[in-house]
Amino acid sequence: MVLGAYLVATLLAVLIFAFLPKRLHLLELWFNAIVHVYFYTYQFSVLTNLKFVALPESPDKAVASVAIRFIMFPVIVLLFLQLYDKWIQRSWAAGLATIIVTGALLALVQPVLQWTGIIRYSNAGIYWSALAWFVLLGINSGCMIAFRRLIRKELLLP
Amino acid sequence: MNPLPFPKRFDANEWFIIAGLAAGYIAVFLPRRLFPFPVSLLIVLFGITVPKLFDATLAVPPFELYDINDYSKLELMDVVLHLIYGPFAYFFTYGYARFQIRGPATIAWIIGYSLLGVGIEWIGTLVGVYTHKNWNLLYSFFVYGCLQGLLLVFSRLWLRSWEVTKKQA
Repeated sequence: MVLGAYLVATLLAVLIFAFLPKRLHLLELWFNAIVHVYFYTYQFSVLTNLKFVALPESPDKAVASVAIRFIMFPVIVLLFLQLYDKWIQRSWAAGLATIIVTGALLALVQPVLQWTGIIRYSNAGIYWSALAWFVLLGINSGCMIAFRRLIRKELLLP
Repeated sequence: MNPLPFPKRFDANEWFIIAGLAAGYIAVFLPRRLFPFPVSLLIVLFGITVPKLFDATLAVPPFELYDINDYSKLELMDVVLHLIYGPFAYFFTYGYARFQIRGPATIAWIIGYSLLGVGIEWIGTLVGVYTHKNWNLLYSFFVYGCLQGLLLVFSRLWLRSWEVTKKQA
C-alpha cells in the first residue's frame, strides 16, 4: 500500500517534470541530477552515522525510500534549479528566497515520511532537516552555476 | 556518533584503494582527449555516483548484502573508494569510442569490461575492501553489465546533445 502510493507519486513527479518546459540544457539537467544524488547520498549516510535518520526495516518500505530519495527528490531539486535559474537573474535575494522556500518545503515532507515509516527520524525536530536541505540546495545551485560557466565556453546557451 | 570514521587500521584495503585511485586518475589525463571536457566530467561523475547509490541501497539495512572496508557504515575510505569508479567508467566509454566498437562487438566489450570489473572486485575481496554477505561476484557481473550498457546509452545521448547544440552555436 505504502510502496504503491510512493511509486505512483514518484512516477507522477517524473511525468510532470518530463512535460514541463525546460530552462536548463540537457547536459545541465543530467549534471545537476547526478551532483544532487552524489551529495544527497553522502549527506544521508553521514546523518545515519550520527543517528539522526535510519532506514526502514521492511524491504517494501526500503524500496519506497529508494524511489523517494533517488528519483523524487532529484526531480524536485531539478524543478527548484529551474526556478532558481529564473529568479537569480532578477536578483540574488530572489535566488536566496527560492533556496529558503524550497528547503523549508522539502523539510516539511519529513513528517509524512516519518508517519509512513519510509525514513525514521530522530526526535531532534525538523530544524536540522531544513538546514541539511539548505546546505544541499546551496551546493547544487553553486555547482549549477559553475557547470554553466564551463559549458558556455563552447556552447551558445540562453 | 562519528560522522565519518577513519579506518580501524591502515592496511591492505586502504593501500589498494589509494593505489587504484592514483593509477586511475593519472591514466585519465594521459591519452588523447576524445570527448569534450563537460561530457567527460559527466561520465566520471556518473561512474562515481552510481556505485555510491548502489552501496547506499544494498549495503545498508534491511538488505545488508555486503560490507565495504572496516565498518558496515560509511567511513572515510568509502568516499575515496567511490572515486575510483570514475576513471573505470571513463575508460569504458573511452575504449568504446577509441576502438570504434559497433554492433555485436558492443556486447563483447560490455562482457569483457564487466569481467575486468569482477576481477578487480575479486582482488578487492581478497584485501578486505569488500566483504560479501549475501552477495557474490556473479551478481556483480550482471550489475556491471547493466550499468555499462546504461552508461553507453547515456554517454551517446550526452555527446549527441553536445554536438547538436554546438552546431546551433
